[in-house]
Parts: sequence; structure tokens; C-alpha cells
Amino acid sequence: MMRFDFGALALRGFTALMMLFLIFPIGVTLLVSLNPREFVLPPTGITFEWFRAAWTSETFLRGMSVSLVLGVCASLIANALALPAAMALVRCDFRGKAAVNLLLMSPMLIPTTIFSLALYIYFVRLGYGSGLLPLLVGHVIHVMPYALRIQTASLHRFDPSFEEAARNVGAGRLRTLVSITLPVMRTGLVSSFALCFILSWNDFPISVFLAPPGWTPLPVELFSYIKFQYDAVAAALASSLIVLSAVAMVLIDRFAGLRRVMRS
Amino acid sequence: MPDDAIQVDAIQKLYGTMKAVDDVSFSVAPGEFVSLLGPSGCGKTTSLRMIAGFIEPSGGSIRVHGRDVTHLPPEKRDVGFVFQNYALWPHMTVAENVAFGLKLRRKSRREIAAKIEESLSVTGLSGYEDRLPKQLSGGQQQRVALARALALEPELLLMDEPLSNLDRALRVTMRRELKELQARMKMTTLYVTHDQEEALSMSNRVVIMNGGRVEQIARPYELYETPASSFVADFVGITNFFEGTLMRCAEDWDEVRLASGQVLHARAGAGQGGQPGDAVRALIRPERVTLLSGPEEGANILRGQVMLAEYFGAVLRYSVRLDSGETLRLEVHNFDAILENGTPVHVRVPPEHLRVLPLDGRA
Amino acid sequence: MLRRVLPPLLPALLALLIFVALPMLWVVRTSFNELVDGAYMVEALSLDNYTRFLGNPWYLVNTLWFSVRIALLATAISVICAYPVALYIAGTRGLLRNVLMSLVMAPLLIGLVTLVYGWIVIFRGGGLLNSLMIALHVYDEPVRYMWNIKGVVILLVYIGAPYIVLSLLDSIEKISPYLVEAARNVGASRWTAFWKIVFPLTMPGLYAGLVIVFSLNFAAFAVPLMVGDSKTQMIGLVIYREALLNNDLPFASALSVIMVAANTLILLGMGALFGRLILNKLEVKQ
Repeated sequence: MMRFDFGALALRGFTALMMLFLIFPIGVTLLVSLNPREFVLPPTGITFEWFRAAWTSETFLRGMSVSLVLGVCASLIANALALPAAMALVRCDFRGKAAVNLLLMSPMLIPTTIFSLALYIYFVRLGYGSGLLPLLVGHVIHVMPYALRIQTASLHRFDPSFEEAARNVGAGRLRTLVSITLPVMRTGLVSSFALCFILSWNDFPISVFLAPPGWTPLPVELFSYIKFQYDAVAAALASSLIVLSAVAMVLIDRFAGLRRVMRS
Repeated sequence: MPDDAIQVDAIQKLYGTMKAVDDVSFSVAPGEFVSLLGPSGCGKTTSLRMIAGFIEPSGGSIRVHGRDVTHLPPEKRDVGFVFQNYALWPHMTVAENVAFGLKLRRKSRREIAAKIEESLSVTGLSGYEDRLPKQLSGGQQQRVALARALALEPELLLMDEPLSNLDRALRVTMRRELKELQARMKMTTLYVTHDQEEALSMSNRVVIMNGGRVEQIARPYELYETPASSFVADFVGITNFFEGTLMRCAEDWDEVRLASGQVLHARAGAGQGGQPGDAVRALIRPERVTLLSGPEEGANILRGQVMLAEYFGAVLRYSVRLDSGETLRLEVHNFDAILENGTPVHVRVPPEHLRVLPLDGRA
Repeated sequence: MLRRVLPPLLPALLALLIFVALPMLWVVRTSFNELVDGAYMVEALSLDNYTRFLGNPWYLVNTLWFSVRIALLATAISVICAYPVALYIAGTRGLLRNVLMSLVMAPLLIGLVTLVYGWIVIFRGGGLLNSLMIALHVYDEPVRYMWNIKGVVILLVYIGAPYIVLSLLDSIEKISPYLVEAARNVGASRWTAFWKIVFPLTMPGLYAGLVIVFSLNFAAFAVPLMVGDSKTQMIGLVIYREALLNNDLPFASALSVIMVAANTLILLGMGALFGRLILNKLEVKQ
């Protein structure tokens, strides 16, 4: 930990300004969503009218259910693919491990524009251009590296000697997995799932490329809405997304350390 | 004294209400090697860092060659500092590390080159100019750190446990080299360590610290032979402690009665002005206790049984359970056999080596 | 060994092979196809799609060069915004640090559309900022912040700066405070110690951040789509439009190949620049 105390005041002031910049759109959205006068300040009170409108809007509800199904499925599949890979990466030493690791992380390094376009063309050529499959595949591939990262981190965190100690006192392979390995993994899996879900739930670029007609995820729905309408209902929906993201952030940070996960 | 190289006067460092350094005063004469010795957390490193200017004292004053530097920033102090982890700048070569301070002093290029060569040859690093720190071994990094400090010819050199990251064999070698170099260059040095061997073998004087305070300032020999407090006696070397009561202070001898009832004689004046009836501690170094070859009678002759024999090669250390109940450790240097556990023995505690210290609050 | 390691890795590797590697190769192949009126596209081996872009000065200036400029500008501003923040955060701990880190990472997790909405509320013609400025008589006519280049740059900085903060923090936290003290000890002022010791040692982190953020910015299509106008024809946006609105998959594919090539070239250039500046010294072999 370092302390740079030169120009400490200027540094603090600048940081405060930047934090304001970062929080500004989020704070304003929350404010408008609760403000009875919509965009007119100062607020005269608190209303949940906009939230009610947002949460009963048929378009939004449909978007939500699409995003929910998509997020849950994508997270489950991505985690299921990542778990055995993470175990192999952490537990075994083999030649080309670094290369395999890089390969598995590669979706993070490919611009979403290109990745989405590639999937789009691929599925068009395979004849699935307008199905739900491309969208699901896109989301799975997009979130899988994050799942892999959290899971390897949580596997790394425990010393193999924990398992050796369990074997030493007489636990079998399976018993060790159930009583020692998985309890430690459980928190990792929870945060991994939370991260994958929230990334999928909030995703716009991939969805806008790959969503078939009639299966519009919530962010794309919200985008179409704000393109033509300017009201506090959109703010209420955006606020709901912010709150959900914040909950996920807390979960992930609690169990996996947000910073290690988000570093690219 | 005004001509001291360092004069530290009643410095303090408070962190909240915690006194990390509490009223510490000492001085170092020009050319002298002084160690700050104590357990971790005793305030020795904090004191050193206050002298270097990395920490602002909460009170007191620090003078370097008579100049008050208490509130000067570190770059204005002209004191060399060798860090425990060396703190070599990883993006600079050995030569650049050494040259950095010289460049800041706007020395000519030729002068810098000469200084680099000189300080690297003094520390035995000639030929390593273009290496990066991470290409060097721990011992070599240690030498670069020293060369970097010496190149600036500082008024005094501060060293913060410089050898503690080296393995034992290298530490002993470096200790000797460092001491020789210091003596040759007559470099005024203040040296922080928790290793009593280092402190005793290298220093002209040792400042023993505990709990943020100075326990004793003395030459190594005095420190060991006449510790001023139980803490010093315990921290430096091994000591037998016996709690008891001062019974008699007289011209011929003093007397201490131990808690078990056993009475020990000490030389006259050992009680240091205490009154009969005072609670005291009697101390004796293990190597001062004599193992008798057979039963003898007389003052300070005690009976017991061998509990444990620890063989160190040149030294044999017995733990003897005395009949009165105390345990006494004693060391033997010339021995032909090792006594079995349970062997009854007689030992003598020479009165002239028994120290009696008042039992004050500070243990 | 391989027999033990391969089975658990296989599902993930296969997924990547089938849904990343193959599609990417298809893109390259598709870029040589031809679009024929009436048909979707026909197999061919032609360079028409490339010459159509590279031979057209309008595309070169308004799309390729424009994207490079915007990406560089947004990256540079992100660095200027992020560096002091990273420096400050490195010196904090406890609750303050947690709060600051959460704020920094929030834009990375909260969806783009949500964030854009917030900025629209602030920046639109009759939005908060304009109302405030006009009320304070800073200016009288509403200023256009959104749906132009300004909006695109602001949003790109907003999304990019957090990445740079995180990657700088990695570097700064590796710098032992003793290195700064050692510099002060040999006579360096705070400024000198910063420029000669701390700053060079943060270059690897800065470079890592630059690579990520430049690539993100260069390929961006959602941001110019949402807050740009007809002038902000960034290459990512053109790819999106050609593929989804014009159904010209061969041309979109060629553009993707060109984009990746240009990105790689620029990153190599940056790498060379940084390499000469500092990295060679830090990465010398043992």
C-alpha cells in the first residue's frame, strides 16, 4: 500500500470530480425515477408511479422474461463448461497450459462487434439465422471467460494440502470433494453465477446483433423505448437494472473480489 | 554534546493514543557505530525513520552535527539510509541506482562516473554496473543499497535491519564486511536490528529499546554483564531469574531470600541501595554457574537433579531442578561426559556474579 | 497426462472452436464473397469488398481515420482522467477504498443502455446540465452535448477510464513505498521522486490499460449507435449497419478484417513506442 502525499489536495479534489462524473448518470437516473415531477428539479416528494408503470408495461415484462431466461440459461451453461476446465487448469500441470488458458480467455479479447458479426454470419449460413440459438450461444461464449476466472480463483484460494489433510484422516476421493472442495467452491460458484447472469442481463451489443424477432432482451427493448420516448418510466426501468446490478456487485465482491474479476 | 553526529532528544511518536516511540534520547559520536536493539514493535525502526525524515515526530528534536533537522523533509537531511528490503529502483541499473542521488546534486558527469566506480569497488561490485537489481542475488542487492548510500558521502549512515533478508551464513560474512568497512571509513552509523549477535558484535554502543522506550544504553560488554533491567537481561543472552526478597544489605555481603525459602548471597552493594524487605529479582547467567564435581557445603551451594541436557557441541546446557523447587540453567564448556537425566548434582552460584534488580513494574 | 487433462477441458475448448474460431474464419472467407441483387450472397473469391472500402477516400477519412482519431482521443482523455484517480485510490484503505472501487467498477457492470439513459437525461437539449447552466447564466442557448462527436467521446471515456484505473492500480500497488522513500533519502523532492521512480514503474500498467481501452474504443458500435449522429460513422457502427440493416455480409466481413488489421498495426506501434520508452528495462530476462 502506498501513500503519495504530494499534491495530496489536488489529487483528492480531482478524484472527487471523477467520482462525481462516474456516479452522475446513475444518480440522476435514480433521482428521476422517484421524482413525481419527472425531470423537473427539485423533487417534491417520492413516487413509485414510474416503477409501477415500468413493471406493468407489457413490452418491458416480455423483455424481462426473455432476459431472465437467457441470463439463467447462459450462466448455467457457461458455468457448467467452465467448472471442469477450471479444475483441470488449477489441479494439473501440463505443457501448453498457458496457451490453453489464453485460448479459454480469448472471447474477452475479441471486440464484441466482430464476435457478434461472426456468430451472426455463421448461423445465417447454417440456416439458424432467426432462431434463439445464436443469441444463447453468443451470451454463453461472452460470459464463459468470467466464469472460468472466478472459478480458477476460488480453486486457487485453497491449498491442496486441505484436501491432502482430508485424505490423510481417512476421507475418500468423493468424500473429500463433497466435504472439502465443494464447500470452498460454493461461494465461487455463487459469485460466478451472479457475474455471468448480470453480464448477460445487461448486455446490449451482442443482443442487438443476434436477438431474433419476438425475442428482444430487456436492454434492447429499453433502447428502442428511449429512442422514441423521453419519460420517467424508462428511468424507473433503468433504476431497476441499476439496483439489480448493485446487488450482483455486492455478491460478487463478497465472494470473489470484484476487482480481480473485472480486470481485463 | 554539540559535536555529536546525531543527537536525539526526547523524541516521541504517537499513533492515536498508542505511543510507538516514547521519550527516546540518545546520541552518536562521530565515527561511532551504535545499534538500536529490541524486539519487533519496540519503536527502533520508527525512531530510525524519524531521523531519516520519513516519519514526523510528535515531539522532541533531532540534531545532525548540531543542525536541527526535526522538521526537514527527508531530501534535505544528508543522511544515508539502507533499507531492510534494499529498495533498489527496479527500472534502473546498478550504476543508475548509485548515480541517481549524485545527478540530483548536479555533479559533473566525470565526478559521477568516478563516484560510481569508487563506491562499487568499495562494496565489491565492480563489473556489475549495468545489471538490473533483479539480476542480482540478495547479498549483491544489499551491497548495491550500501553503495548507493555511500556514494553520497552522507554525514551519517542509517541502516534498517539490512542483513535480515539474507541467509545465516551470508549474514555472518556481511556482518564482518560491513563492520570492517565502517571502521575503515570511520562512517558514523546507526544500525537497527533485532538480532542481539549483530548488535553485540558490531557496535561500539547499543541502545536497547522496549515498548517504545529506551531500556539501557551501554557498550556491548556492559550490556551483557550488567543489564540495567530484567528486560535487558532476558533479551540479551539467557538468564536465570529468581524472584525473592532482599534480606540483608551489609558491608560484607547482601542476601536474597527466594520465594522457595532458599537464601542466596550476593556481593556487597548488589542490592543497589534497596532496603531489606524490598521485592527483588536475582539474576545469574548460565555460564557463571559452576557445576561441582561432588557434594560440598556452604553458602550459595545448591542441590538438585538434572532435568534436561542440551548438547550444542562446544557448549553443554543443563536444566537443573533444584531441591528448593526452582529450575536453574547452567552451561559447561569443558566436559568429558553428559550427565543422565535424574542425576543428582551440586551447583554453586558465585555471589560476585549474582545480580539483584528491584522488582519494578517493568518486567 | 493428456488423457487426464483433455476430457475436462474438451467441452469448453470445443465450444470455443465451434462458436468462435470457426465463425471467425467464416468471416474471413465471407469477406471475399459477392453480394448480388436478389440473392443473399454468392460464393466468390474477389477483393471487391476491400477495394470498395480502401479505394474510397470518403470511407477512409470518415470511417477508418475517424475511428482511429476518436479512439485515440477517448483513450488519451481516459488516461488523463484515470491516472490521478488510480494514484489516489492506491493511497486509501478501508471503507473509503471500497466505496471508490465500487464507483469505479459500477460502469463496467451496469449495462450500457442504462448508463446512456442517465447521460441523455443530463445532456439532452433541455436536460439537467443545460437547464443548470442557463439558470446560472453560464450560457443562454442550450448546448448540444449528445448525438454528436462530443457525446460519443464522453461515453467512451466513461466506459474506458475504469479499465485504465484498474490496470494502473495493479502497477502502482506493486511499487513499494520504500522506493519513494529511498529516492527522497538521496535528495529527490516529491515531484522528482514521482517522475523518476513512480511514473516509470507505472508504465506497464498504463500500457496494458491502453491496449484494452483503445481496442474497445476502436471497435465500438453501440456507443456511436446510441449517442452519435450521421457524422460519427465509426467503423464498428458501419459494420453493424452493413450487416444488419443492409444485409451486406461480405462487405461487413471485409470491414471486420480491415478493423482487426488496423487495430493490430496501431497496437504494434504503441508497443514499439512504449517498449522504447521503458518496458525493455523492466522485462530484461533474468
